[in-house]
Amino acid sequence: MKKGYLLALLIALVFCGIASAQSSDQNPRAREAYLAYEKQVDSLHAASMGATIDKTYEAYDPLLIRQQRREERREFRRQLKLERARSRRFYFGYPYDYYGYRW
Amino acid sequence: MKPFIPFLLFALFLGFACNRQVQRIETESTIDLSGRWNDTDARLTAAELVTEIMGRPWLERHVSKTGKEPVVIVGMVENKSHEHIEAEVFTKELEKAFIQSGRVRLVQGGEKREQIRRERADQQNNASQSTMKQWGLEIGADYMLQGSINSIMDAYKRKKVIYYQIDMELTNLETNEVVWIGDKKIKKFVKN
Repeated sequence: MKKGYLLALLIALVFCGIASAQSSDQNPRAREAYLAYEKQVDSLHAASMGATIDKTYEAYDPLLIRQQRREERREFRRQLKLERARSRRFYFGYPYDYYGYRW
Repeated sequence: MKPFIPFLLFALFLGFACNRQVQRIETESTIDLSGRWNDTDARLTAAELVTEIMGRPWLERHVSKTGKEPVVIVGMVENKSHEHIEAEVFTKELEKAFIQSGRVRLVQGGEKREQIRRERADQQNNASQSTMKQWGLEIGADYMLQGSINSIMDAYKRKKVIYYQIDMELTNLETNEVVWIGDKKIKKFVKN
């Protein structure tokens, strides 16, 4: 008898819940939707709030490209000079040249 | 003494040549140096967006529907342009306009909100019971402000045309309804 009352109460509660959800036009699966997003509220979410997220792209700028190429050439020449200076030092310290002749 | 005069003059010349000059100027003044995004662009954007957001019907509609001022939280701004543009420069202006008008309420978000929560947690252990702040009493925002920055650049030889478009939108957090969209467009012609 007691079990019957409990079951009736449970059914009434469920019915009331559904009825109230439907009356407010809320999706009955709203709880599931919430649970799916609940875990995503982490520090990353907080970090994205009020922040600027950079997704910048590189625009085609002929002047900038020319300047970059010039800098690359300068750097290459500088490296070449350094390399030459280094190899000269090596040759001076060594008694034989490339072909095996003594200096 | 005479032989030292040229050296003295040279030293003076060097001193003047290396003299760095710094002067305070009006923050409202417009100075364009490189043609890239600068403070004037940010200021113009802020002015336009503030006028737009405060003068549109979403505000009255919310007040007439709920009888309360809307609560706004600032979300993220995506910078999809070709330059680094810090959106906080103009989003702060919007926040300031909300608070100063007294018609829109603002809730803290992001790292600042996290810090406040950490402080509240700290109070639970260290503050007196009468001054300790409680959990679960934060105001839930009604709307989130989000935005994006886009740019298009057209360059030929030494000439450049740069176009920036800043879009901000306000979305109802419960219904996903976009209640306001504002934008600011800036076009520049740069000749090197």
